[in-house]
Amino acid sequence: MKRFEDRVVILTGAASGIGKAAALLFAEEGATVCLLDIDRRGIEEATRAILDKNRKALPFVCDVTDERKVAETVEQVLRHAAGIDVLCNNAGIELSKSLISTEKDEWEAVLSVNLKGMFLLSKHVLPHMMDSGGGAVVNTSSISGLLGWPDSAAYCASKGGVVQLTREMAVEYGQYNIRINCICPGTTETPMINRLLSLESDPEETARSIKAMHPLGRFAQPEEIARAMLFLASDEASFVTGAVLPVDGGYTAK
Amino acid sequence: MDKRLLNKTAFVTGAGTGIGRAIALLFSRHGAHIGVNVFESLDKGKRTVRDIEKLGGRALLLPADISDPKKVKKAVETLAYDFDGIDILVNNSGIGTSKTPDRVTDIDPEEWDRVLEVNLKGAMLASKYAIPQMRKRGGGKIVNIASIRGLLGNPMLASYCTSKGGMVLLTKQMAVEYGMENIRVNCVCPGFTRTEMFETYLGKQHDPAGAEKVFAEMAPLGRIATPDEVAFCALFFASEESSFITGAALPVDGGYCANGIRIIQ
Repeated sequence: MKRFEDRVVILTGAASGIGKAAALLFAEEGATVCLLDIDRRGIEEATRAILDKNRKALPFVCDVTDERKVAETVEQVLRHAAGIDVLCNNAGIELSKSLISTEKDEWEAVLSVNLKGMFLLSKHVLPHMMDSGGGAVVNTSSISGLLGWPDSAAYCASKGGVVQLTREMAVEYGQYNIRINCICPGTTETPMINRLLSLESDPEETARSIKAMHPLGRFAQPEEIARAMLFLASDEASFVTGAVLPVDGGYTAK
Repeated sequence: MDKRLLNKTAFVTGAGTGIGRAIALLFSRHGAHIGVNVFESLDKGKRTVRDIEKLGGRALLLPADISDPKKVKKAVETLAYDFDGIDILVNNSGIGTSKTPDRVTDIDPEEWDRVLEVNLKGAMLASKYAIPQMRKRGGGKIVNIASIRGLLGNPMLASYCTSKGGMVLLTKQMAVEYGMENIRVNCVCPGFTRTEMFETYLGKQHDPAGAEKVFAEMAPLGRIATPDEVAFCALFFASEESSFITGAALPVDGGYCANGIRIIQ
C-alpha cells in the first residue's frame, strides 16, 4: 500500500507518541516526511529509523508557537521538496489543572502549542497548497475536544478550539481542493499518558478503570491513531472534509 | 495493491446499485468474498456478482427482503455456510418514499412503515443474525450506511431522516454493546452521491440541472460524491486501518455538515 508515494508530509509533534508513529507509517507508504518538533533528539532518532529502512525523512527543530520559525521551516521544506501535500498538526501539550489553579502563563502555553501552533503552520502551508491545486490537513484534537473533564481547563479549551478551527478551515478552503479534518483520540499509550498515570496513587487500578470506560476495553496504540490520520490524509478520503473523527474505542458513543 | 480484507467474508445489503455495488466491488478487490444482497432487482444483483467474478473474486447472490426476519436469517446463514463464516456486514439497503410526499402531513402511514422497515429494521435484522457468526470468528465489523440526513433535518424527507437518524444511534448503541466482543460498529453519512437514488431524487426537482448545481455548491468541496468515494470510507471501517474506532459517524459529505452557511433546499 503506497498511498503517499511522491507526497510531502509535514508532521508536527513528530518526536514521540502518535506523531512518531504517524511519521513511520507515512514513510512506509512512500512519503517524504518532514518531522517537526522542539525535541531535537526525538526527531533525529525517528528520522534515522526511517532512513534506515530506505525511506525519506527530514528533521526540523521548530517551535510551532514561533511564527518566524514556522515561516522559516516551511521555506526550508520547500527548498528540499517540490511542494507540500499533507500537513498534520499534531503537536500538543497537556496540563492537568482546574481552571482556578491554572496560572495565566500555563493557560497561554497550552493554548499556544495546541491551537496557535496549528493556526501558524496552516497559515504558512495553505498558500502553497492553494497554488499547487490542493492538499490535505489532519489536526489532532482529543476526546477532550468533545467532552468536559475536571482538571483540564486549558487542555479541553484548546482541543475544542482545534475541532472548530478544523470546521472553519474546511469550509474556507474546500474551494481550493484542500481537505481539513481532525481526529479525536481516546486514551493512547504514549509518554504523555504514562506520565499522567504515574501521578496517580495506584496507576494500575486507574489504568484498569479508564480502560473499562472504553467499549473496546483497552487503550489505543499510537499506530492505531496514526492509521486514522493516514486515512484522512490520503486520497481514499477524497470527499471527507470538516469531519471530526473520534478514534476512541467507542468512548464518546456512550 | 495490498489486500486489506484478504479472505474475509462480507455481507453487503442493497448491493445491486450505487454505493452498495461500489462497496461490493471494492471489498472484492481487497480480497473479500461477498454476499450480494438485493430485494427484487435480481438482474442488478446478478450483474454485481458477475462483475466480481470477472475480477477473479468470489460472490454469492442472496436475494431477500431485508425487512423480513426469516429471509434475512436464511440469507446470512447461507452465506456463513457457503463461505465459512461472516466477518463484515455492510447495512446499505435504503429507500425513500415513492407514492406519497415524505412529510408528516402528507405521507401514507404505511409508506412511513415501509421506509423505517427497510432502512432501520433491516439493519437491525442483518446485525441480529450476523453478530452470532462474527462471535464464532472472535470479532467482526459492521458498517452502516446512514446519510447526512441522519444528522440534519431536511424538508420532504421525514421518514428518511428518521430512519437514518435511527441508524446513527443504532450504530452507537451496538458499538457500546458489542465492543467487548471485538465487534466494531461504525457508520458513514454520505452527502449527495451520484447514485440511481440521487438521480431519481433529482428528477423530482422542479429544475433538475439547476438543483444539481445547488446541491454541489452546498458542499464546500463544490461537487457531488462518487459511489467509490463513499466505498473507500466503508473499506476504512471494515479493515484493520480503523482498529480503535467504534461508534463513529463519519460524514462523507464534502464538508456539508461543517458548513455554517446552510440554505433550506
